[in-house]
Amino acid sequence: MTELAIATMFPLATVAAGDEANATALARRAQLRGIQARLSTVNTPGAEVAADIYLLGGDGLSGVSDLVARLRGTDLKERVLSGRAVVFAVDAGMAALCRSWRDVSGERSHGLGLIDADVHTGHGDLETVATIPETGLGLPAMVGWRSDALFISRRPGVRPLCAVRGVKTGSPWALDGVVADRVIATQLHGPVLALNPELADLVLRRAIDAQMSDAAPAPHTEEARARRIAEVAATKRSPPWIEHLGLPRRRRKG
Amino acid sequence: MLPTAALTAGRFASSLSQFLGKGSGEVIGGRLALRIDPQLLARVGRTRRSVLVTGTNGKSTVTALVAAALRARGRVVTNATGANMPDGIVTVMASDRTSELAAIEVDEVYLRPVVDALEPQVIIALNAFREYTRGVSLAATLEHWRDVADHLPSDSVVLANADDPLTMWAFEGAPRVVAVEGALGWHGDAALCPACGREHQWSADGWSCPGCGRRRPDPAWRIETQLADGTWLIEHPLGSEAVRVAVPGRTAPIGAAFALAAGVEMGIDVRATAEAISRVVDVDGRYFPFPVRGRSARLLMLKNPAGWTEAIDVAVTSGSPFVIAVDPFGPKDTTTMWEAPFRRLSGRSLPVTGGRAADALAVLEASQVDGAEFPDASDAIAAATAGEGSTGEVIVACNYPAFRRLSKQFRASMQ
Repeated sequence: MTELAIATMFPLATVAAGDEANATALARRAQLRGIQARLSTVNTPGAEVAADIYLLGGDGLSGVSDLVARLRGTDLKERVLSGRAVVFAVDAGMAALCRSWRDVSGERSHGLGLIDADVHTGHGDLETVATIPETGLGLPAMVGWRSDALFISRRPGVRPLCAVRGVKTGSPWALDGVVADRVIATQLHGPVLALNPELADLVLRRAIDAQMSDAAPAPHTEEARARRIAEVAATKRSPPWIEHLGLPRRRRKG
Repeated sequence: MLPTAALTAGRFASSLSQFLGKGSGEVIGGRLALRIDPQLLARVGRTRRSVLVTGTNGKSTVTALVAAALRARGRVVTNATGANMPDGIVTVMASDRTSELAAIEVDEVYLRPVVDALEPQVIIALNAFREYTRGVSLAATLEHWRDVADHLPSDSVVLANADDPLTMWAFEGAPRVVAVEGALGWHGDAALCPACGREHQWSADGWSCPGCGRRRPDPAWRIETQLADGTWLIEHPLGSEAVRVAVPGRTAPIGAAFALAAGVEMGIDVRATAEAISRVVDVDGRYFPFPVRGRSARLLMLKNPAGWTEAIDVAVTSGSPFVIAVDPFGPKDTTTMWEAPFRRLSGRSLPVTGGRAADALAVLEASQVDGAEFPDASDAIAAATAGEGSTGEVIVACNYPAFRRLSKQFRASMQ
């Protein structure tokens, strides 16, 4: 592959969360392997976009119906199903790819159906999270933030991307995202591919047939991630018996 | 209900907040007072003639300039501390019951209740960018503004940014709209026409929509040029006026154009307005040049990619030394930096400081720009190097908590 086409799809349809920087992060990891990337941002519905990697993002469920409608006007689904493209989706983007999603009013809408899962309204806690390493996928402990405005129910056989631990005093671990052959999704913002280059490499590996060489280290990115993970690890947690009382959660300031 | 009871309760809550060290107490006091008397803002505010300033970026600066302009006519109440939601505004209004004029900054998603309460003469609409902190979509903000436009007093005027198609569309339904050259350095959020969904076209003449034919209007208030003595020449329907503004970059003439227009709409002589604006030297510590280790440092508070992009542009075009100061304030505290074009500063080594310096260095690493961490902000400022054609003044680009901390620290060191 001489040039990789990376398309950020309809970022204006959803609530901004910084996910658009995932495109430049991905391009940089490709360039470190001698692969040039061509970046585009698609805003106009109905435009033909022959991308190798599609990127979706946005915070929470606001704008998901608009995003789904616009995606239906593209050939993203066909290209992913026929093995010609990979899609990486964050939060609102993930909801758009699921079989269905249900908003605050309880109304259910159909998504693109690329992920065999359903999405519901979540509890909406904003927090920094760290993940457990997933050695099978080549992922170390990663970091990002989640608004938990949505909750995903995976159908049997759908593999989560990773497990996360947050700074809030709630359930200590939660499963995050989805990983399949050509679909990778998460609820982590950050931008997550910039803060976690290994996840960017995982997306690249799914899109590039050839073996990928190791990339040069990024010491400052490593340091930034290590400091955030240390903050999550240092957070005092309530004993399990308190968590089971069902008391209102104490929101951590900042 | 007399406003006295609600105000007394609110003042008690404010005092308690100050006593407990939880801040100035403006917001908590106002919130309690409004809970007791929901009509309180109208009771304490509607008697004045007011100018409201809203938009995503630049509200505080323009409000300060408008307040200065209005002082040419009389006493002015203004929320200079940036408490710009109804609970903060009611406290500010209640603390000054005698001023007949008001220059009020309003959070963009709270414009309707403030408009309903104050029935303003002038509304300044600066720009509409996506915001990253509260999860409010840009579409929701624009719909809110459309609703405001439909409910404005019939004798009011909206001074709207001619260069922002989203702002112009949102206030189409207002009784009277005057276009002001307000610039738009970041086109990403205004890519699509909000009326028909087609992609905007951008040229030297500004924006236009190939779908519905909307295009940038000719602004009534236009930035002509910067004169040799540093003043800005603003052209307007009555002629032109030179204004000196103690604010760096394009924010200076933009703020001056809006403030001049607001002054004239409020019936003040344009020359007197220009002279009043020229006397502003500080906006809540935002642009005051602090002396630090023999250098002059200006703090900029940045909260979205549009803001970071503007700051980087000022550094590139002026050659000014550039320092990044970022502190922690929650999970999203450095998210907006990643979309800013730091690569434009390649070739420089940027000093970074603050509790989130590691994030800033990671952003620079991804942009292939050198950076170095300095635990002390004064050391970072002393280490900043200049680009070509530099004026020598150091730009300190801050997120919100770093801005508050450094303004306080540098202000204290001057006393």
